[in-house]
Amino acid sequence: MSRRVKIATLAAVGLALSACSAPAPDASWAPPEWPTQTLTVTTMPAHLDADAFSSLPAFRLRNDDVGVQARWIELPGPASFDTKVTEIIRAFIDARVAASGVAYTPAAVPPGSGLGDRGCISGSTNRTASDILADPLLGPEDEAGVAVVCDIVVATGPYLGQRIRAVSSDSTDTTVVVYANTSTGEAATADKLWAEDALVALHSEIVNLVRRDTDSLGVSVQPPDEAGRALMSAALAQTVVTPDGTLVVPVAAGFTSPELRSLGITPTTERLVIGVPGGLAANLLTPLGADLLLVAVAGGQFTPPATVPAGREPVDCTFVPCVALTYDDGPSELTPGILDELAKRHASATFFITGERARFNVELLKRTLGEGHLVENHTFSHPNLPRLSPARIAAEIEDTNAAILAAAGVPARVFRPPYGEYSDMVLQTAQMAAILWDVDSLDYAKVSDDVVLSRTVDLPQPGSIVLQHDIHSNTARTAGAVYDGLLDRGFVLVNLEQLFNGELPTSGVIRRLPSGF
Amino acid sequence: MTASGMSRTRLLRGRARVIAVVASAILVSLIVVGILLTTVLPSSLLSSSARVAKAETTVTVGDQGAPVTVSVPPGWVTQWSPLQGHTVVVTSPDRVLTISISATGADSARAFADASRDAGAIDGPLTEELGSGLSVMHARSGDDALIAAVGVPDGARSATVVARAAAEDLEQYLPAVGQILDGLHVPS
Repeated sequence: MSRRVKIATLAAVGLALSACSAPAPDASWAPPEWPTQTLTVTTMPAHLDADAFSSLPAFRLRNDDVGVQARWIELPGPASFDTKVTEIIRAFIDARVAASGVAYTPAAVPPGSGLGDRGCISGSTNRTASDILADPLLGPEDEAGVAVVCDIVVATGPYLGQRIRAVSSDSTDTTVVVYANTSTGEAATADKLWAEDALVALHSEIVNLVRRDTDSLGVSVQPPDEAGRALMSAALAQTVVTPDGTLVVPVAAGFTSPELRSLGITPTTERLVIGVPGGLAANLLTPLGADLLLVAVAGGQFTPPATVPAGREPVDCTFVPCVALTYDDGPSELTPGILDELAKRHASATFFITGERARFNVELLKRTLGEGHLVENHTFSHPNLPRLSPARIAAEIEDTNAAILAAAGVPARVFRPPYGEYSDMVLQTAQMAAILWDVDSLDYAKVSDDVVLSRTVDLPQPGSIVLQHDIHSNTARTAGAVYDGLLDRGFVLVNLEQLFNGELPTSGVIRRLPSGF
Repeated sequence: MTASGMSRTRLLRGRARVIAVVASAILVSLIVVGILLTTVLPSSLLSSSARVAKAETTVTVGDQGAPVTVSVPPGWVTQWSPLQGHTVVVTSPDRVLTISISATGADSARAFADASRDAGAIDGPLTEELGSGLSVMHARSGDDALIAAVGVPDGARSATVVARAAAEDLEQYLPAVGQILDGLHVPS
């Protein structure tokens, strides 16, 4: 090989090697950072003052047979929020029923029990379990059973958030936040603010948050196991959205993962309250959650739905103890005072009026109906119906129906035979259900106010129908005290339509809400 | 000594000098070739095998029956040496961090011990479970390196990982090391 060839060969090899050098560095590239620099460990946001929501329907239930006391609030009128809230409370009670072996039926408590004080007690959901169980305003009798307490935690724009916590003497302790959008009617538990993949994503974020305090090199995280999913699911169901755009998620003690255990980090022994900034949460929220976050940050005033007359509120009398107050023989000059007392307590009643009086009290009847009470048939001239011919019976019923329709614009659907007297002929002719009573106030017997009061307050049982007359002054004088006494025993004061779950009976003789209705 | 004897002696000495010079030349050549083989040539060959990952890429290393797989992020450079078939070297896109990953036939504790011995004194190792479910034992080696062994807990095989960067850079690049560790798959 000549010298020239050798030089050329070496040059070619050198050129080839230089051409094969490593790719040029990408100076614009930046190394990744540890994930989860965004989560924070925070504290639970303060609850709102319950007194600011006194216009919302408030409830309190105590059942000493099963061992339960519950407080909650609802929204005016039919609302899916109310359905959701009562479903949750029923589930807590069902768990107690299963544990106690005692079947649940609505129960009233003895007079003087103080159950007129209803709704949330501010801050009660943040108290210790033992404190809640021991407080007679919150806990079950003898601290044995379950206490369901509530707080309003979000009220902004159309959104209301109620935290419901159930504490049981067998050491179970469950909390859930229920949100309502009063504009759309939508209601959902807080876990529904989060998209499906949020649970795993936030679990991963929390693991990384905890292990960043170590020399761990871990980046990704295994999906949580069943216990981990349950813990995270429970945490998401308690999410509170704050005005600064943070979603606060309280993770109960016991949080762990294989990654943390391998680092010697034991399961958490206390609640870990995590703050998820809106920026991070944005991709993990459902449309409902995203809208709530938007509204919360905007900080608008809560806009409750318009109030609804008590008599038009749906009431489940298989869940809460109901009593139906009925007033016969009116209307009279005493009726407005009775209506006033009912309105003060957001309570409803049924008025069995006579056709004779209906004709001269049109405005009063309109007011009665407008305030959500029922106006029903008590015959035209208050005769003893079994003594009349079928034609006279029919006239008494039909003339009164016509008078009610003319005066109030709505037809009567049930009737009450004067003196409680009826016969097969009466029932056949009336073609309506006859509503009697199981509690008689004896107000017509010129008894003292105390007798009226004690009979009307002490005798009713859940489902009772109480006979009174809005033409007797003792009834008018005691009306407010009677209502307070019944509320004090835990009753919800309803009209007959509410007592029968929105469906008035169409035939037969009714003295009270049948057991097992 | 006769004249002919002296002449013969000179001849022998001359041959010995030539042999010595030739032997020295061969020895020097061998040393140069050796140096080339162990330094310049491998790096040249590594450079010649360098590939920039356009997207997340999985590469395998080690026994074809039970290989270690490495998930290489986009922009990272993968380099192979045919002289070190059980090793792949991945380099961060900015070339600051170099991570050498080798498949071993030892369990991770043994592999870590071997790698530690080769690296000299290191800090106390930390063992943890990764998101992949694999166990990793790792420790810093000096200011500019981190050694790790990754494997299935109680598994017979493992991968050793040696990450290197300038002392002032290594801390900042640990998440990138974690990302590579996360993308390892080691057969049991």
